[in-house]
Amino acid sequence: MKLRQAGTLLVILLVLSLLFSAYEAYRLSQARDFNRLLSTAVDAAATQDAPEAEFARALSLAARNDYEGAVRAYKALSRATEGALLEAVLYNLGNLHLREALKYGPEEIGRSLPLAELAKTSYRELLQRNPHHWDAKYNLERTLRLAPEREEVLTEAPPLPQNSERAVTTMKAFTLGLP
Amino acid sequence: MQPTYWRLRLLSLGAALALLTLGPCHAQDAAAPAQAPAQETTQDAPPAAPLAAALSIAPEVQPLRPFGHVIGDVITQRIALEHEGRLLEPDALPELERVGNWFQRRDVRIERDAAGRRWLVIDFQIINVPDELRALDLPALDLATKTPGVRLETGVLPVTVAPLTPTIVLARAGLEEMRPDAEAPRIDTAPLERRLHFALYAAAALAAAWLALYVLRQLRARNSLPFTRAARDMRHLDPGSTAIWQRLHRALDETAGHVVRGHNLASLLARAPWLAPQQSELERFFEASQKRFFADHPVDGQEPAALCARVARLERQALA
Repeated sequence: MKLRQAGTLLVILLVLSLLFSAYEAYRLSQARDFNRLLSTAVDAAATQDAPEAEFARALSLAARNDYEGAVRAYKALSRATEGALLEAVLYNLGNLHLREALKYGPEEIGRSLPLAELAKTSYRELLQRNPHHWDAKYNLERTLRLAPEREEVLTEAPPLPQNSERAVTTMKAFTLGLP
Repeated sequence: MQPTYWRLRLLSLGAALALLTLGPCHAQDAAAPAQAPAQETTQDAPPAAPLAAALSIAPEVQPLRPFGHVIGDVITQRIALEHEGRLLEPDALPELERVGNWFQRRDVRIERDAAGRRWLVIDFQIINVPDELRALDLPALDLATKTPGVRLETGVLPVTVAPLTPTIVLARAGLEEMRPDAEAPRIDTAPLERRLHFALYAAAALAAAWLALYVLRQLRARNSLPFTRAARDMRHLDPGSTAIWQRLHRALDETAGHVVRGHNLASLLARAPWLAPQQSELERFFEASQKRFFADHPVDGQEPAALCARVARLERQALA
């Protein structure tokens, strides 16, 4: 009778493992489909349901110059991902802001500066996670060329009134108190 | 006369300069009386008596590479938490914050090395970049310790930091205004493949185990179950012989635990309910057996071997 129960248990385990195999085979097939679509068309891959697909969707929005949509997609993704994918999200988010800032350039510093600040925040958050991300280092440096944070502003400016903001990074090469 | 005259001119000039420089300060103090006390207490007031007696200790700081740094690099400073045999326990660790224009203090911890020495380890990250290669000062540290009147102090450490890019980009392959976006990552299929392989191997192993168990059960049944044993024995007996009838009787008695005849078949069925589908066949068998053995009357149409095979099959289904 014990052998009989052991046989029943084995059959149950066998059925379960076959069900699990079927599920994993389905997921593998979905992943392979996604990768195949990704190599041919990002938009098609973005129709699938996976964090990587959401990333592809954000990327395609950015490619279509939909800044707001791409920012929303990357932000949503940044709250739900971890690891290498989160690093890629932070990097692309920084790039999105920097590209937008570069459109205005130093000529329209009032418009480009807030975007550059957002780009710096993203790159710095990424570099805090991964100090060896060379593309982020490069782009953070380019952002700092556009919106420098000069030492003089920090050290030479007179004391600010209480409860005021020290807009160091938004005052390019400008020192308070000089004629 | 002449030297005295020039001495007086110099003195009056000095007094005038002093009036010029001190005048606005007093005016500012009068205009902002609320801010002045705070500044005075921190900058101008003489240090309090305990501070004056405070002992500043400059512990050992492990040397670090002072050159070749770029933006994003992490510089780790290690400060010994002992000095001349005296243990130093910081009252509180430094805050994780931006320190000056160039560095961010991103991690502070206390570690113990292989020799058991305790170190205050501070990770600074370079978050800003000068226009050209330049020596920057890694901030000094001034920490209160748990020992009253003892402070832990380190000096600034110069490190050189250089930009990665020229002020005006070269605009050649890979050196444009900015590095391109990261491509959409492909889904890593390796873990999925591993899990699928594992599940399939597990299924195969379970199937093999079940098959082995099935064979074992059948072998055990051949040696232990009465009807299965009888069916095997009957293959070696003459189909028309009396022995084949006796062998089936013996299997029935063995199953019931007592001698079974037509009148007490119910007790056999109560003990082995899986025989119920063959009840009428068994009744016919007992009737025929009665005629064969006691009326010495030949019986047609009754095959004990076939009946035994059918019953053995039911037996294995129920018990094996």
